[in-house]
Amino acid sequence: MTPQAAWAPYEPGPDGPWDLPRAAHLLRRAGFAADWSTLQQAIDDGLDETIERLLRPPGDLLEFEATFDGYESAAATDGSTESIRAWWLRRMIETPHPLLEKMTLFWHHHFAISNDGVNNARLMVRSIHTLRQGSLGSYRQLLGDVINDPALYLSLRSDRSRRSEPATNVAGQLLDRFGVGPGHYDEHDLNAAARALTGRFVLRNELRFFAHEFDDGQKTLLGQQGAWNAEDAVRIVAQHPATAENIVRKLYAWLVADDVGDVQETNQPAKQTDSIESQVPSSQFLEPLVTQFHQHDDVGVIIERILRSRHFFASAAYRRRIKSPVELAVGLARAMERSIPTMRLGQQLGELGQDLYRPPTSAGFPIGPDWINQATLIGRWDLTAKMLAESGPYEGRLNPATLAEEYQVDRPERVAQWLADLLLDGELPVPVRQRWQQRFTSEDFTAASIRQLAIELTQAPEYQLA
Amino acid sequence: MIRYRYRWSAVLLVLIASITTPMLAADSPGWSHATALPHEAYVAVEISQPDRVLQQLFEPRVKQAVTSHPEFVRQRNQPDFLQMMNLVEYFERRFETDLQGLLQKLLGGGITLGIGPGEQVLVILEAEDEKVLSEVHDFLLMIARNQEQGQNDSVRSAEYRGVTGWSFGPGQTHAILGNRLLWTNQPQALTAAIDRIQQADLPNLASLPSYQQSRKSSAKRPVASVFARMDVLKELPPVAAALDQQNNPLLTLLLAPLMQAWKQSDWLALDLDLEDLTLTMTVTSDGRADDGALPTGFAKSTEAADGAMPNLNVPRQIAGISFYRDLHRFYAAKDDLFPQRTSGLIFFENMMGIFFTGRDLTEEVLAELHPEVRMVIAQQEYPAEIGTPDPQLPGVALVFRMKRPDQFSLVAEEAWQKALGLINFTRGQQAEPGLILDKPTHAGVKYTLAAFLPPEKSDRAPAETRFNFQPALAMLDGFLVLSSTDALARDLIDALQQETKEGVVPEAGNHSIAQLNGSSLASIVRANRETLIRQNMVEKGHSREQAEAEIGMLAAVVGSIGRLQIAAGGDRAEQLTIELELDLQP
Repeated sequence: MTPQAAWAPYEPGPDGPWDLPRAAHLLRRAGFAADWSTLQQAIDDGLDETIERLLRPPGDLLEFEATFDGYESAAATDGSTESIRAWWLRRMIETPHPLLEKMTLFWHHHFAISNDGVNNARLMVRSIHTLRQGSLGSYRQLLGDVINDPALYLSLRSDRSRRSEPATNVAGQLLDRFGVGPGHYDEHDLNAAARALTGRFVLRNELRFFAHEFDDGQKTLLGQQGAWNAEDAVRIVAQHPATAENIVRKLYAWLVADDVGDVQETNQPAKQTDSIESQVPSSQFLEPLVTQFHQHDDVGVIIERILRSRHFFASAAYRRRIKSPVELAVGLARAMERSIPTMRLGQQLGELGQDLYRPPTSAGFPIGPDWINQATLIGRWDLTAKMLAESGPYEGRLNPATLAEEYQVDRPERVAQWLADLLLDGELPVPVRQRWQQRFTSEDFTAASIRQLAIELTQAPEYQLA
Repeated sequence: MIRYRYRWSAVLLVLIASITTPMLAADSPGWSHATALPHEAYVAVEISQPDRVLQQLFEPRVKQAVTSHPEFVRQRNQPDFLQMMNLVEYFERRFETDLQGLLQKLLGGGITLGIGPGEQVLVILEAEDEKVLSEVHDFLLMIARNQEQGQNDSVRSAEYRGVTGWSFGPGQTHAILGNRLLWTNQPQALTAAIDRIQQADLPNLASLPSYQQSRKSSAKRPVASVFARMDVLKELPPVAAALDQQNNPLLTLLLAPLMQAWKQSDWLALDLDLEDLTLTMTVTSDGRADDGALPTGFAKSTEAADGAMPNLNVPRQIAGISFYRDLHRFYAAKDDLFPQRTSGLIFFENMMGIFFTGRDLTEEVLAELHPEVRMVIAQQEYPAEIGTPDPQLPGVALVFRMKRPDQFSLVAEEAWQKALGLINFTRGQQAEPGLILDKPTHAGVKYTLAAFLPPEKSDRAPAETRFNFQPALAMLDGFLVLSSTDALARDLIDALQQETKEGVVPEAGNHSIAQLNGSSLASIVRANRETLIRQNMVEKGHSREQAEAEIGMLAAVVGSIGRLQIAAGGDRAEQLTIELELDLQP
């Protein structure tokens, strides 16, 4: 398939109908996971309307955002990240705009500002708010806002950049991670960017500029010469074509597939968990997206194109991402339509490697296959089992039996299939079916059995995949 | 149809009752509830005077407080509640009485609950009016049979020694013996209880010497009592862990005397009395913590007249706690009391070494203090230039008395200023504002105060948590006051001057005294309502409405506490007395 054909809009047809697996796939990637009524609505409304609702959800979003902004600000006054982490998770679970939170999480991973260096909950809340505000708009604007965020400098231990001693950490991140990426800059560019960022100090949690500490000499940055300052450096980096490819490549890994690119594909979503091949999408394959992003600088437009594409609904994308711990937990809570004690959840997600507000390194969180090893897989099973347990740290708030009752799903076989539809795109794994077949007809298929069945479904290999 | 079934059930029950009652009456006249409980029972709860409980519960002001509560109003419109009220009204009409009268007829003879091995639970309800019990049972039987229509028969009955045992479903079984209902979660527990009732020579709880001893220790017949077999309970891991506070020096300091007594005891009894909306609880046990030679002897007074000082009283007070604790002796015994040298303990000792300029903490610091430790907790008022912090924390102060104030006051002052310096240095490293030291005077006492500068105008609402603190150190008349707020320090200077003037003496025999003012506590719950709701939402996963209801309930419960007074002593039989005065003003 040519790149143009891969990124052309997907048209449902006999070979690739708009069905439950495709709708669930879209709602997982463009959010966390859908509840049953959202899933049904997506199937009924079709792709266009569903994508429209994902990008521009109806209803009073402003009121929701204002309410949660208030909760987070108040939680930040005690100075701990535990509270603000809990509120962000709660926001992810309850938001009517899951794509916005999914992308805020993406930018948190991308910019990797950590409270370990910042040590100030208010600054962290403000920082994530900046990311949320710019998450679906202009990257150049967002990068400019982040470069003016004091949390970035504190996180990188670069709170003083003097003319005599330019701090290189922020410049390094600007070029290597936020901008053109490795191989597209050299040491001269790094020095030039660092000099452009001199005069910037973080004092009492505010970013200040002292002209006498600014190096106003000529600099050559990515081939452009001038007496560049921070704004110029951001503009030069953001407008560079390599930056567009770097960002598109990351968006691809976030929304489409961990490490799989222009492989052989069909219009059918894969039904089995194929081994994930270690291929990265070629520049040629991404070229249509990169060109569009470079020209228009609009993250939302690129996301929309990806989500509408044939490639997105093909086997090369279906179940080609491993859920991060946050996606795993928030997705389950959203599917079960209840909020849970997020204070505890934040802690358990931290133990699984995704401690919100604390990316482990300046390269962000792990991604893709790095999320799963023997220890973390057991930890992930334990997490979903605890979330669905009748009692324990999550207080039995997620109750698949009650939910089935609310949707008037009654007979045991129907409940099992309905849970498989909700959690596994309709696939009731054969071992689970075999194990449960006898119990479907017995009298002891109780609410506790439904919980147990749901736990087993979340432990299926397919459930670990987004 | 229902009426038909009801009639037949009634006839059946009347028949059973008429057959069994005379037989039981003949076999076991006047058996006490405790004789029906197994001797292996490790907890027994007996409400022996339900009439007094009902009388208090149905007092007009209690009824008014309950029925006007928003949560009650919300529940009143729920279908389950309406159904229950219809049932109550039916029985009220049937027996020509009100709810209080109905409950009196049904439960007036007493209620007893016993818990034994294997999670066995046995409940005995004694009706004042046998007919009421019989008819209510009959009605419940009818409902159970109606609910099971079309399903497997879950209502079952069986005869044992002339008594009919009933089960309305799995995990519960019961029988009626005259005017008493026996309910248990295990069928074999019911047959064993019937055996004990019919054969008085079988071992039972009442025949246990420890139970008899506990009953004798009660000064008068309480409204309700709890008997716990500590020799059995101490073997349970959670109880053993609760009694063993070796890893927590603070808990050891506060609770060791009681824990020591209870660790040595074979039984523990709790008597409850209720009079004019005041609940009094008295804990007695056969264990004593009066051995001054033990490591826990730091709470044992050397003179008969010694004991904890009366609590101090200040405006807006939430709680006051007073201990008789020889801190020097406590810390000297630390290797016995908490043998593990945790990182926290090592850090504490290192910091004390710095603050007290290398002085030995046991011999040169704690030895300088009298065995009087008092803590006061009071609500804060915030100056307008600071604004209201979120959350609003109460002020907390500790009051000690120095043996040689002339020598030790400067040592304490130096340590205090070093601690503040360290706080300021650490905050400075994090680019956080520091505390400004001042030496104000109040009531002729010059004291040391540290406070943050007021926030900038743009940053005022809500103020940061740090504005809850203006740490202060005051020394007067040999007292040493460490307070988290300026206002509390000033109030304590007034209170201590008054105490000195009045020549207040210790409460002999008490090693711990605590008091709680419910209205102040409720006030701080209300002030922090929004914070508590938010916390409830993320800690329990509740919706905002659920969190509001739960915090509303908490505020109502706390608000209903007028005053709570706790006194604990080691030398007397009543080791712990708790007096709770309810305030149910609407």
